[in-house]
Amino acid sequence: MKHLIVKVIAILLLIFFIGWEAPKESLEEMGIPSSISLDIEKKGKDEVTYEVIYNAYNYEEEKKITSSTIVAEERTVSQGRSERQLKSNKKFLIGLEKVIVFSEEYAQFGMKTAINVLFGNPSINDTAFLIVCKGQTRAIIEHTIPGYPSSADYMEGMIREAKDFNFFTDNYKLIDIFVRMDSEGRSITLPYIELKNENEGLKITGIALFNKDKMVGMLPLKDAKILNLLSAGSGKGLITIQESPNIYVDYYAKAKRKVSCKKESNKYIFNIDIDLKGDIISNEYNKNLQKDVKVKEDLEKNLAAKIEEMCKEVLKVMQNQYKCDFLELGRVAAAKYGRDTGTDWNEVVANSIIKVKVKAKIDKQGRGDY
Amino acid sequence: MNSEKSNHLKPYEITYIIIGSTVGLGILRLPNDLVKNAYEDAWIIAVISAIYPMYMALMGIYFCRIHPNENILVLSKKYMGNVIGTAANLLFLFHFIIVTAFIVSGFSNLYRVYAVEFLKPFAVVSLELFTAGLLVYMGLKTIARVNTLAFFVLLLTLLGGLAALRKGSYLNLLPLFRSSAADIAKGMKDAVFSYLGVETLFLIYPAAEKGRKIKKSVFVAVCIIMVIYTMVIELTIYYEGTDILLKSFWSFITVSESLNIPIINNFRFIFASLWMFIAIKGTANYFYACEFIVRDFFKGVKRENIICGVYIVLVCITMNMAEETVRSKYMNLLLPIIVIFNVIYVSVIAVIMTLKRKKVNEK
Repeated sequence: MKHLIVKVIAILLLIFFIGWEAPKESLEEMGIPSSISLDIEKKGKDEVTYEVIYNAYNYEEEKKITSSTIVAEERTVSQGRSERQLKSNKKFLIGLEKVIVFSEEYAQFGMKTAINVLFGNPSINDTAFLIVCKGQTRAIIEHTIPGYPSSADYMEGMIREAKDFNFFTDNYKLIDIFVRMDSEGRSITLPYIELKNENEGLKITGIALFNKDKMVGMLPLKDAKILNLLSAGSGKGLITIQESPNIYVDYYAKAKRKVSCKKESNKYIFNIDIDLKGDIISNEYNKNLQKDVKVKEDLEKNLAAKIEEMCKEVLKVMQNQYKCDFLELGRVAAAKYGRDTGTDWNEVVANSIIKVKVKAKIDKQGRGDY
Repeated sequence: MNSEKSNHLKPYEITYIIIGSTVGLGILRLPNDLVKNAYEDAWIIAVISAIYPMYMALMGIYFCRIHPNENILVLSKKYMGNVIGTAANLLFLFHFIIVTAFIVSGFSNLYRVYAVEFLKPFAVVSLELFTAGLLVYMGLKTIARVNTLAFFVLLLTLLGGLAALRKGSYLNLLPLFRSSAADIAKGMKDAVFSYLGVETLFLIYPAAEKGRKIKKSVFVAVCIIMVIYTMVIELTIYYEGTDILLKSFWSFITVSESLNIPIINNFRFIFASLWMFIAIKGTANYFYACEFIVRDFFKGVKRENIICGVYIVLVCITMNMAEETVRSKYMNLLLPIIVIFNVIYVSVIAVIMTLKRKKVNEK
């Protein structure tokens, strides 16, 4: 027995000496990026330069954390690493990045190059949020916010909490993009962030719309809200119906969507059923809402009709202006009528009839009506 | 230490050993292999391919009923003559060695991407085989216990994958039945590697507890394997969809990482350690089979020496095909041959056995 143990230890030691190149750095010597971001510069016809922006934490004394930015300009996304190491004094440890920011220009160019690099790397954080920003990415990453080590930490919270209003979904994580980008009949929308000026700070001003990996446009918040409502997995949102400054209702609801698809003589018909269930936040409309069933039913019908109208407007924009399927309707049809048949679902959805049916239900009305 | 002679295998231990030899790390890329040909209908392949282990299981039960105390190595010499029998046994050994090399190189490739990129392939390969070798040295009973434990570890990791149910969509599983019979047949060729492993039954059934039928435990094992495989494939398609699934090399890992629990923000290393356990028990089972057959050839040589010899051979072979493209080349080449050989080897013995028994009865 003793003999065996000695043998085992000897062999283990031997294997470790032959095969191990142990990492030796301590945390302070590691560069831990808070975000990895991309910008692009088009030089001439067939030449582009990527601007890869690494924002890494600096662990200083007294538990103070700041961050610094390194910009690497190279011809491919992964070549950015070699340029980065020329400028940095640390070994980079990825896996804890909070957000990944693409500039609008890069998103329009097509984010496939970056997604491919991110997908191949097993240590990347799959739950980091993807964001599209207006203008230069660098300006947003270098924007400082008091109390936060970097703007990336701030933006992570912005995206994570966005789903409580405006019906933002929580499908903006890297893993969600992986499962959508090349999947048949699926599409991507990402939050669109703007930095207007230093005083106003960051703001989500809409959603970026994608056709496969290329950004095709940006919907401002008013329409974005309704498109979010129509998408699968949407969060909560506040809808106001206003007749005059003093007569209005605020309705805070959660949406649930169901899509069905029919095919009639080569034309697809999509039915989107949206069930809204929510509370009346403020009621300046009819004081009998709590007492009278009829008033409540009337209001529910009224809300549903108004929301339906808004939806139809946004659908018109989608079908006529963008001619793209941002609602993943093609996915439902593909599941029913077969995949890999060479159908362009964007075209199908743009030329199909989309019927929206909204049902609004009032659940609670708060603690009282003043 | 060597207590296998006094301790017989319990029926449930046979079940777990068969599951343990069959279900290994291959499960992580099983969806890739099947979806490639049959898309949403991959589960049909998983169900149909279970014919192979079912056939092997039936044969094993038949052998055990007629010769409960003699393993297949003895039987092949008895019925096919000494020369042909020995040659066939040698090929049977070759099959175990090759499959061990496939398992270990698969383990090394996966772990060097996901967990231990700072280790050289040699370290991963030799350490894994070393651990397996230690288990082999401790005997069949220890291996049976490890397999029992590893089965529950496997269930735990699969439960983690169930978290994907919240995120995916049933739309990914539709439409059904769009692939042709030819696609399914092609897919079955790729599925075979995942269903290898029931062969260990032919070596271990003499060690089963006397007076107990192994029939039930073997069939339960094959059914559990089939259910696990079907579930893994359906879960992966449900979560990722067939288009995206093919983009990652080990698609089920993404599913098992979909589990999201506060405080623990990355499950990768927890899963990595659990999967390691599953991989090592599979290697140990195959290592044991190799050692068992070699011991049959060299009677009288000390077990330690046999294990060391087999260890060196395994490390050499694995190191020569550790790289992924080389590995898949050899797999495509050798696996169909291995399966055909196994079926012929077992069937021929069974046929001769039946014929001879008839003759004896007639006399």
